[in-house]
Amino acid sequence: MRKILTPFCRVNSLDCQVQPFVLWNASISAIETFATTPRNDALTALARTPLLFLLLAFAAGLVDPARAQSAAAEGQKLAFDRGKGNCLTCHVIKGGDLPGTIGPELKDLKSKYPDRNELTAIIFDETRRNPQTMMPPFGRNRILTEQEISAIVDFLQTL
Amino acid sequence: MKARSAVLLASLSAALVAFALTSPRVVAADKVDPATDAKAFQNFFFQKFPDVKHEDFVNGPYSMNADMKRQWQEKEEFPPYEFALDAGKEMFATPFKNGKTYADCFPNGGIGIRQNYPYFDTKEGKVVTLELALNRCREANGEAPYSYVKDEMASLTAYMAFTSRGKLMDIKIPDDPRALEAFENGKRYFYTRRGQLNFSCASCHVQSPGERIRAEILAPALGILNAMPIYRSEWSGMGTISRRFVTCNSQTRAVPLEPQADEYRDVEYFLSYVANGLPISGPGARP
Repeated sequence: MRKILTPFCRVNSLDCQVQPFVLWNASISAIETFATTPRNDALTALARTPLLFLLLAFAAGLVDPARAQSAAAEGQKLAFDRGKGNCLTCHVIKGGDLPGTIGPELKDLKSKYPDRNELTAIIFDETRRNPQTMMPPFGRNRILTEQEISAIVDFLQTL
Repeated sequence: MKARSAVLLASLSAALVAFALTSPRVVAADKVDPATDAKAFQNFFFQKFPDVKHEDFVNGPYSMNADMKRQWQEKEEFPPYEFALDAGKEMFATPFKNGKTYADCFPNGGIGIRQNYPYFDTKEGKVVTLELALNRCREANGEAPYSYVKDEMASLTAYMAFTSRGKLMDIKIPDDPRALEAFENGKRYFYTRRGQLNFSCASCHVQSPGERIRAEILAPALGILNAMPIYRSEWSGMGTISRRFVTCNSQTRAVPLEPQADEYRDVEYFLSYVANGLPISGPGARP
């Protein structure tokens, strides 16, 4: 589910899942679906209806940050899920309870790894960089899909 | 450029020849040497945790954390394994249908002998664990074998460990190539990564003892079997060595073996041998 950043609803907060925001998110989804119908149709429609153009502009303005937010929120969910990333078992992560101590604390990751591909590679298979690592090869052993890893990287870059 | 590559080629082939000449000697130096392995294994832990008394390693995570140790010591006033211990004592004394008892199957009537298990049976050519010996005793006396992982088996081994508390682990490796092979096989199993999470036994219990995974503190591999069987709060009950191996495998998303499979018997042999000289502390209690 999509989550929108508003003054009342932050990515990390449960508020995002309460009813008004669910409704809000649903309406955003509807606009987005409309906006992402096959490009040719959209372009011809654009030429014909100024109203649609307005709608599209509105959607484009809102959707991009919204999408980044939602990916990061999804990434956090995956990172904290015991059956998925289960990252808290070994890492201290802001917003997570009872972290383990095996890995380093996950913070300032955007400055440590400006290139997101580096983070992706670590999650995919850290044994390639460090054969002694405890870290499971999440990509190589199909614990997470590429999309899931990408969402987790989105989340990690917010830390 | 050509001269350079010629030099490179020559040195490469020289290196290859040198390698071919020395490699048999490398293999010879690599022969199975359990005594040296045990010493190195123990020294690794003694140096990694200089403040932990040697005999304290058998208390697993409690040896690594003062707070947990205090809580555990208070708990030991009314230990959670007590029911199993009482049941085991009674079972041990109760004759089979043929009138014989467990005591007839074991040296010294089965009392104070936990530290000698597992042993290598030169007739069978395999490792025999205490759990295996108990079920063999039952079958030899016309009784059905017990599940290896909990309940009756845990009660019986709890009692047998209790009568051996404080005795020092004393595993022998007879002068038999099959015994050395069993030790080596157990060692290989212990250090090999497996399962979806790609952990070896050593990843957690050699590389990371004392560290937390979530709220749990990882136990050191040294002396880890001396405390068996254990009451685990996580299991809400007792578990044997077999249960510990099976759940370790499944928790790391590896395919567990059958209890008492050859590899499990060998890894028990390896782990017990390298704990020689440390006291039996079982039955134990763990979070």
